[in-house]
Amino acid sequence: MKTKLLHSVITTLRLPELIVPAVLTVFPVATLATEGDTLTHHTSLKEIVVSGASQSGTRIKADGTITLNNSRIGDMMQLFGEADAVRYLKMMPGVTTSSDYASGISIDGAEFSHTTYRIGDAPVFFPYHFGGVFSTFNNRHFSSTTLDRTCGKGKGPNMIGASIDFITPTDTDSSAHASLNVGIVNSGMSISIPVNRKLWLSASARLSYLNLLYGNLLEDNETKTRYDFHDVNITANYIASDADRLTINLFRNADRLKYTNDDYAMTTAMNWHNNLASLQWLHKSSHIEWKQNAYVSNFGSSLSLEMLDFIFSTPSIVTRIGSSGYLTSGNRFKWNAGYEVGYTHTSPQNVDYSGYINHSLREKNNFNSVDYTISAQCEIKPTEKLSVTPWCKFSGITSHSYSKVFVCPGTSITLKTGKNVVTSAIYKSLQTIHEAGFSDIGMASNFRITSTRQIKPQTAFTASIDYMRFLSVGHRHDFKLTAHAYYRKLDNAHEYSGNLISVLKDDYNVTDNIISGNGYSAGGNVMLSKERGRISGHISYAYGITRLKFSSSSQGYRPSANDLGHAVTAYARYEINRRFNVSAAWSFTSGRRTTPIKSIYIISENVIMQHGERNSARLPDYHHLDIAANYHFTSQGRLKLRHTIAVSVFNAYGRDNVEMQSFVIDSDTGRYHMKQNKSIYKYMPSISYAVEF
Amino acid sequence: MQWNFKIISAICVAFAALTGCNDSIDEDIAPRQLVVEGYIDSDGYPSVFLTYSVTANDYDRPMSDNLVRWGKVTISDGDTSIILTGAPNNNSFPPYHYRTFEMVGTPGKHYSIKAEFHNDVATASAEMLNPVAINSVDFEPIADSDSLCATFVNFTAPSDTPAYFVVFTRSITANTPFQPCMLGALEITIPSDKCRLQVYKAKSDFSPSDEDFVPHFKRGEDIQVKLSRVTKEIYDFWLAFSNESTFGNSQFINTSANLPSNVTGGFGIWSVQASSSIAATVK
Repeated sequence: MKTKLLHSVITTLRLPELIVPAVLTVFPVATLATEGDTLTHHTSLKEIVVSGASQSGTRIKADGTITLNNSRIGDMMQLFGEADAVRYLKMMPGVTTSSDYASGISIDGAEFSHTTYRIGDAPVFFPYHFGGVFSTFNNRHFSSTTLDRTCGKGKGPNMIGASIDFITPTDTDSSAHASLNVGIVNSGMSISIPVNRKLWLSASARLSYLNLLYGNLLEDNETKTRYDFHDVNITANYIASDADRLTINLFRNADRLKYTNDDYAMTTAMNWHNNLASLQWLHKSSHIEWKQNAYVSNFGSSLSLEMLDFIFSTPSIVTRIGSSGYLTSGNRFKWNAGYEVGYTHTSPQNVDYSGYINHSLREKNNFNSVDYTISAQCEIKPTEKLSVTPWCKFSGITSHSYSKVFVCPGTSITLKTGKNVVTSAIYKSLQTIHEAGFSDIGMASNFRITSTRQIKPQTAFTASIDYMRFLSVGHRHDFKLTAHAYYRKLDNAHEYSGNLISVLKDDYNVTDNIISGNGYSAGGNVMLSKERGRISGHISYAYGITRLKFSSSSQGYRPSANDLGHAVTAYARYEINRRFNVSAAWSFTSGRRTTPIKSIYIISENVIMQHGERNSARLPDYHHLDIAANYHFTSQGRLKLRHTIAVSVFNAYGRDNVEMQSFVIDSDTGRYHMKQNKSIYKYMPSISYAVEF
Repeated sequence: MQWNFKIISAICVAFAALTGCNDSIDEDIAPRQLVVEGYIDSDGYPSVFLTYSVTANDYDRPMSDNLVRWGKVTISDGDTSIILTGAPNNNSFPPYHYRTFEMVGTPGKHYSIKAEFHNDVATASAEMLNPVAINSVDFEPIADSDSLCATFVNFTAPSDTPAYFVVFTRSITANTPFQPCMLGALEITIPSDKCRLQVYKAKSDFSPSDEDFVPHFKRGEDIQVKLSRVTKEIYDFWLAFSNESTFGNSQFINTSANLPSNVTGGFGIWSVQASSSIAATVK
């Protein structure tokens, strides 16, 4: 009877399936211990924590936190032979890009730079390979990915938006395993081996050869694109004792892009890299959990333009060295306290050029800062149904002659009633590293700059509410309905106002070209999902607005480049049998915000466009359908090998998604002609083969 | 089963509706405005091109519709006002310009322009500064090219800085008019500095479609380089123009800022410039 009761409670609470048999195994033993007359020693268990991997690919918690099971993502959707967690997150409601070339994701209408990506609690500043098609995070290297819209509440880093954490496996009990993936864009391998009973090493690497097979697709009569990348992940887990574990994460990626336009005799080159090293120590005993972390993370990029002997390059660097620690304890009254301290060096737009006027070497633009945070958070459960989590962060930043302290409090309240869970949060957040540059779509050429007296830290006040309800079909809770609404007020939003020519001026100062203002975003989304069964998937709708107002402009509040508008995603996966599954994903968003061209005229035989108010129009709607099929089979030999053949088509109905719109003159007819630069990602097929043991 | 069918049908209809939601850019209607492209050089005669801008949602019309052939263009130096005469111009676009030989640019004077057509009036005025002489022009061979040379202009910056310049080039051999060369707007901040600037050909959107832009002159070509000192306002225009014409079509660089203008009641530039020029054969 008790077993049945517990089973129904667990099913209602939708705990991962693996927990159910584990708890069901433990519970009868506990029952026997208390009821058996041969046992004289009574043990009272205050808490049993049973962990296991969810069989579901995606798990959404009541507070809107999304957890992806990375091992299942590959089985759900692969593009260009790569399963990508960030790409999969774009199918979640309120998570959008509206562009194939955008490098970044906007969550709830926030700027791309408001989201932080982390490996081992260390930030990865630019986690994209070109075009945002897939991220620098090798899916095979990570066990799970979490998206937290509150950026970790009191325990997270100082960011305005969300945090996306890539979690490396910590299960050192399983045997060695490896996988090899061969695709037509890139290939990769991943290996995980126990060195001894205490030390476990994992390494993953990917190398692209896009130019070889897709080279012809990347060029036309006027333009030619060449691109390659590699990324490497290494993780070492060392079990120092039953309670202590050390984890080292190393990561590097490097990308090289070259784009030649014969019409202008111009070659644009963009190179970027991330380097990261982090060391984590986790002490976990029955009473406390202490997590200590130290890291260094570096991102460098360079945009170069070459027009025969005119060569211009603008390299930028950001390096952060930091340490954080969190102590967690308590049962019914759970609390944690922590700190984070970091030194950030930014060196934006260190311009060098030749083939123009003689110029003296400029001093490097270096902006350094030290920031520190002390935080405390507790979780109070006045009743079984209600939990309240207040937190407070005291943060300070010192940068050159600028120094300021911020207090960022917050509270989250969760109420569970039957099948319904409601979570509301209200908090203030802070961000001290900013992104700006020539690109509205977050390309690698954008630079990072730390806060100064002129470029003040961004702060935001956020209020959000999340609702989750399990929907029953027959006796099973197969469907889940989630809804999320938010409002965010933003202070000290920054935007770049310079242009490339002005950078060549001797007296160019990057801070003079960053404008500041205020803004707000508001919106909501709803999603119906089915996470288990032969047919799984979700459908979601989101709507949001983001407005910004800059003191240097007379325009008043105007849409941000990441103003969401409408967004719909639909994803379905059908498991035909244990070997074969097919999936399809359709996403639609209102066209990306753009500054409209209102008039055209000619000056000195050049077409000049007169623009309207910034971001006051939209490009055509962005949508595409991606389809994929996976076939698994195993082979027996000295090793039992699992093989997967993945076939996919990106943008299967060939939608011409417009990335840019302008006007040119047709010199043959003497008429203006609207030129639309369309995404090259159209009917993009890919096939890959993976083998693992 | 029936329930599933209804749900799927509703979803399909919703998707189809969203897909057809918005397939074109929002375009506000902007009124056509006069576009002034006027030049007066020191020791030179004024020349003005007068056209109309085109509304972006009504762009598909012959270019001849945008020419203003029967406008009235008046130039004044403060003492004298001259009405310019319209005449065909076969060397560049637009193929019609307004000119006069009765007024010569003199440094130190203010020049104003008034362009009128129907009820539209555009005005501008600017001061003509003192010119800076070009010391020399020299050339260097381009690597991997037998026929192209890089061109450099050498001059000494004036003592009163900051000084603003626009460099124009023309091919005497091809009989083209002076046009602002690519990356040709510069600000000099160091007084009496020895400046060496690489100059490029002007970029034209009217070049034949099968002809790639080559920013260098050919060996043996007779060219003329003009160094024009201008006010900050005029320099700002040509700097923004240079940015727009050079990088305006790049997907990597956002260029959505409008060109600043010293013209009131229209677009364009009244470029009052103190100029010196030098002719040379590329070698």
